[in-house]
Amino acid sequence: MRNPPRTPMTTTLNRPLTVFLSDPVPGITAVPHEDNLRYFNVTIDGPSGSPYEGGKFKLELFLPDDYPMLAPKVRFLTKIYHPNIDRLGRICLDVLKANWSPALQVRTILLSIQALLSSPNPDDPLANEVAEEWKNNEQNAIKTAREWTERFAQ
Amino acid sequence: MATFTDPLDSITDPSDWADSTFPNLSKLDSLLRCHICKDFLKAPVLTSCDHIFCSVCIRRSLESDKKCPLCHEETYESKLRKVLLLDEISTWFTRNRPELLDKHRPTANNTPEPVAALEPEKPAAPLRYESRKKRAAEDPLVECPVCSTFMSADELQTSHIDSCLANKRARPSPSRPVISSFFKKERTPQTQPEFVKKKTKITNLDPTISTNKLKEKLNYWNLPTGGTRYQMETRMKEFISMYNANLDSVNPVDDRVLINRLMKWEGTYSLSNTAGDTAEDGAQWRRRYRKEYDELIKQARANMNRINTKLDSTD
Repeated sequence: MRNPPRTPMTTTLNRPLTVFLSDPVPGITAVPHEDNLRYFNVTIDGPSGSPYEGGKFKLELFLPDDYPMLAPKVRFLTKIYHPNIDRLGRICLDVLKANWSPALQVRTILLSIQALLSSPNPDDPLANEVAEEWKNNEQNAIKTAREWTERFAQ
Repeated sequence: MATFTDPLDSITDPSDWADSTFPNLSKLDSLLRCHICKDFLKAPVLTSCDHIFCSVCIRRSLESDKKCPLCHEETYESKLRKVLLLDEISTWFTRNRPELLDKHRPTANNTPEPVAALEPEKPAAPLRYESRKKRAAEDPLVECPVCSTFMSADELQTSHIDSCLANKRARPSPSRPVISSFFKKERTPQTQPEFVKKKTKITNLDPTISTNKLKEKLNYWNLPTGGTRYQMETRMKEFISMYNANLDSVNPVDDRVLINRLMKWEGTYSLSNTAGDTAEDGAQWRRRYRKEYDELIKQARANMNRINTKLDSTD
């Protein structure tokens, strides 16, 4: 036997789900797996004005047993050229780590990720090479990001 | 309490009011919700930074992080103060919400369905599993931990539980309609029943407690002592959160009811286990991303070697 979830399953799992059904966020979708309600398939549209514009990025989101005491686990499935997202799609975002609070929601997290696409932060990098490029040759970095968006995020 | 009903049916949301004739009620609906569980406040407590959460939610949260989830200010369990009036308001709203929602349905011929509480002549059949789904939202009925019959918390505590434990066949007195009995007994506002005063909060579990002492503690509260050390610890911690939160409620329940809830809570876990999550997921995850993990490990090893050779060369 593993440790039990800290909060009743029905509430924690379906709250994010109902919120998405009743109050969708433009440019973001989250669909739970049929056989595992803790697991969501997420898509985020690249924000306009960013090098990711026009791209549709796939992510996976997993609610751990201790959610909402622990942050959801989120990862990009689509390849993306971004200083705060590494080759495995892992995301460097404060609200997913140290600044997570149980008062946050799946919704707010996905909005934060969308915002991260609009404002890459090469000073707190996860993908070091991308961050270097972003700092040294921003124009080129943005160009690469745009190319990757066209190649992988359609 | 979480039930095993169809999960989506029991979930309410402020957006339920969106197509009603009074959409503004969604504001009240969301104001009365806990920021942690997003459900209606149960036994709400006030933090030292003036934020309100369900007692059990904030206690669980403070167990891992001594910060307010809303403002990140340092907050301690000992500073939490119960807000009984708000508990009464939230209970009222939860109970009357289905009827309110019904009365504000936009359809032209909305002849409101008579509420169960207004028809005492209706025989009070013990609520069964099927009807529970609808009832759960209207009335905070509790389940007798012995015979699994639903009734008001008052009735359970004052008469039923003892007779039920003495004789398993005892049923709630049939002459008393289960639901209306809830409204007959008027308690002074913002007061808790007498028995709460005799109880004190359980102090938090000392993580260095010996396993034997932990078993003693579980035994003392009539909790099962099975499972691993970690499971016992988790069980005890959850019971402490539940017990202390119960003392913040305007309608506290008997310890036996709490134990029953705790067992159910552990049950939801085994239920989720058969539905398959983390354990299997962990394995699946590893299988699915083996290549990437392998590559990462290779990369990490290469980095390590590089650093080592660098260190060697500087020596």
